[in-house]
Amino acid sequence: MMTRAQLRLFLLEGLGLLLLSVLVVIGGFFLSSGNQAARKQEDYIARFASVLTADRYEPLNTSVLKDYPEINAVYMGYDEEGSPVGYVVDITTEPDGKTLHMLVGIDYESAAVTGLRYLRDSDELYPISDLVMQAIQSRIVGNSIPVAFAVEDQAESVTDEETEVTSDLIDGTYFAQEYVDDKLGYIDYVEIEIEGGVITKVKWDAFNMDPTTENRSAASLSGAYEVSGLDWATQSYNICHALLEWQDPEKLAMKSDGTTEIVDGVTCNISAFVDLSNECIENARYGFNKTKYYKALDEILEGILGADAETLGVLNEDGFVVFSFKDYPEVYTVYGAEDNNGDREITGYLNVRQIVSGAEGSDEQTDPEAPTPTPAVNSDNSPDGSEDGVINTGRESDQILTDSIDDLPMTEIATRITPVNNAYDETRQVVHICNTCYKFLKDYLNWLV
Amino acid sequence: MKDKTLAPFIHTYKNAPYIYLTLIVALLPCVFYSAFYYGIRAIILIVFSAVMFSLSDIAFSKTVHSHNDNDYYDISSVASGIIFALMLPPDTSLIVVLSGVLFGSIVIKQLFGGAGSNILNPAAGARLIVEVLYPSHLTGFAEGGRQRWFDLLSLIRFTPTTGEATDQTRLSLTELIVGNYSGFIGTACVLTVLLGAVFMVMKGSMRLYAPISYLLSLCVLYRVFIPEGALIEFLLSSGAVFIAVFMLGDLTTMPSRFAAGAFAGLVCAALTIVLLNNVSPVIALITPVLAVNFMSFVIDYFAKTISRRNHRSREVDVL
Repeated sequence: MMTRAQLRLFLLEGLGLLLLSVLVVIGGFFLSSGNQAARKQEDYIARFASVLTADRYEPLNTSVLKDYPEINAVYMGYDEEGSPVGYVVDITTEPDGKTLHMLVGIDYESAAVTGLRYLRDSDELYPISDLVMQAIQSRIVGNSIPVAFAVEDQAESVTDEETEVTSDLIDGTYFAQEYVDDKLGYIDYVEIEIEGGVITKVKWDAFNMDPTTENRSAASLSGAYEVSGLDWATQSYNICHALLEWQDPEKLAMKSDGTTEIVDGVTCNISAFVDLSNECIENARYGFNKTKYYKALDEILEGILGADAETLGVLNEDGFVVFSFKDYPEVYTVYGAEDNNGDREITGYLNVRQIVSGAEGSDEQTDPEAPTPTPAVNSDNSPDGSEDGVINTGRESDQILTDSIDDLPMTEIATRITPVNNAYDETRQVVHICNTCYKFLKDYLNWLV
Repeated sequence: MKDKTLAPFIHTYKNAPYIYLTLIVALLPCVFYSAFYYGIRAIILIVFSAVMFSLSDIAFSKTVHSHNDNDYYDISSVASGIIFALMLPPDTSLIVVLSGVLFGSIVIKQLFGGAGSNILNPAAGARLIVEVLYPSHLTGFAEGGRQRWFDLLSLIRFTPTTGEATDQTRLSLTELIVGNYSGFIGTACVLTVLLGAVFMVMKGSMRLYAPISYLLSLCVLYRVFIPEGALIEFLLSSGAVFIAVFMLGDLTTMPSRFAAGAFAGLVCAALTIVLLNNVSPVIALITPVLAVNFMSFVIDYFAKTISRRNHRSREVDVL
């Protein structure tokens, strides 16, 4: 047995040993920390340079990460001067029980994807070939997040780039405006761009008969034009994005009162938008583009007033034909036979293309492009439901009606891509990863969308 | 049972409890390193392992009535528990620790008669079994540092989510010596291991024959048979120094004579080199220790016979 003195000495020696080890460990740690930091940066650069070029990377330590279990880590990249250049998100998803581990580089300023890298470091890899990955990268890299498909309801991969779009729309810019102004003097117009048979850009606004009054969107932002709910400009933006998403005005499910319930943030009357969008799309089927539309308007004006828009001085600074046809309804109205009282029933309305094609003497009975007047009332008394905000479930094309992707409203989507041929699911998984990165950054940075 | 006597056979105040107390104190530098580098989870791992090792030993000996009043107070369980924990990755779950502890305590130690009667090193046995049973669950080599001092999720997460150990070839010599890299929680800092070794030698609780022989043989054989390998990095980062000090220096399971100890160290190094290219580094380092433990009686016997043939008796005199 040890004596008390021996025990005391033993404990003192033990304490001395512990103090010595404290000095050694802490001193050694600070002595070698410089090397460790430099090596860590070398590791980061080797790992992240392919998705985000930066001089230095630092991991983000934020509690927001706890809400995103798929995200392993997020790093911030800095340039030589210490200014942030972007983020690198290390994220792993498990589609179909397989592992998809990716690095996503995101630009600090534009939130554009700077790089995508598939880290094949698992036993159960989600199958994406290098070729497909390159094709996905070419679609996403350089574009801002969040991302959605141009046609989100594409259920299966198409087999060929040429047959990818089955639309009969001809590429170009198409335009349509209302014949008459509303009670505040606004004339609505819609402009649509078609690329590859797909609607890629939509604009809905209205100019005023009074040249000193600003456009409706500008007026709504300045407070001069007010509607219930969000400002009109935002509602217009939202409905345009909804059309971009669904590619069909019918899917906006406009109710009989002219409103819709399925597009977030849109409470205003959208009947003008739906009518004009339909007119633009019909014009697109005939290649009746914006230039031809204005030329046709000139012809109509010459027909009733003997001069074109420029001569009449109805062109405003933006080039719009500021003219209301409310005094010339016979130009665009189709009448039926006279009744006993000598009154004629309105059977439909002609759009600009139809008016011009009629004026040029086309035979409506034989011409395959013969204009069919828009009925004044629905000739079919059995409603299909769409007029009351219900999508007809019998039509296959209407089955998928999403107003969000990855829990993001479609109005937030910044980039629309087409899926890679024969790789719809693979593209969708990568899009999901990009959108998860967006959601994280949105939460982390408190982005106000 | 009443007549059994327990090794080591010491008749000074430097008895078995003293030796194991010395061993525990010698492990304190490594424990401090692990706590400083990996934080609370390292402390929990070490304390949990030590406590469970002790409880398991006590419970088993009470159950089978193998303990009697003549036996010394056994604190070797605490030492074994600490050594075992120090050889684990930082992100090891408590389930894995418990599995190793139960195997080391019951199978390796108690079934052979308990404290002082075990042939094999319980900590080595525990470490080997978890490496064999849970190889994929012993890969949690998280980086150390203050930012993860309070991260405790790894203790309950069976499968680690952190990365692999740092590539030793990219480490500077300073980092290798002070252990500023991700590795096993207590073996990476060679300085703290050597501090413990010096303390044990000063207190007479360690035989240096086998450890020195082992390390020297390892250097020579590694250079000869693995010429392309990074010897310094391997020696400093693999845990070989820790094993040499705290396992091959063990008085209970290693040969007691100079020649036998030196021979055991050589054999252990040779086996390590043979295994190194075929199995995981941990198995390559631990298995030879257990093999030498098995052979230590035989080696001791032949060493004693040879020494008597030469009319020389070289008993252990370091104590």
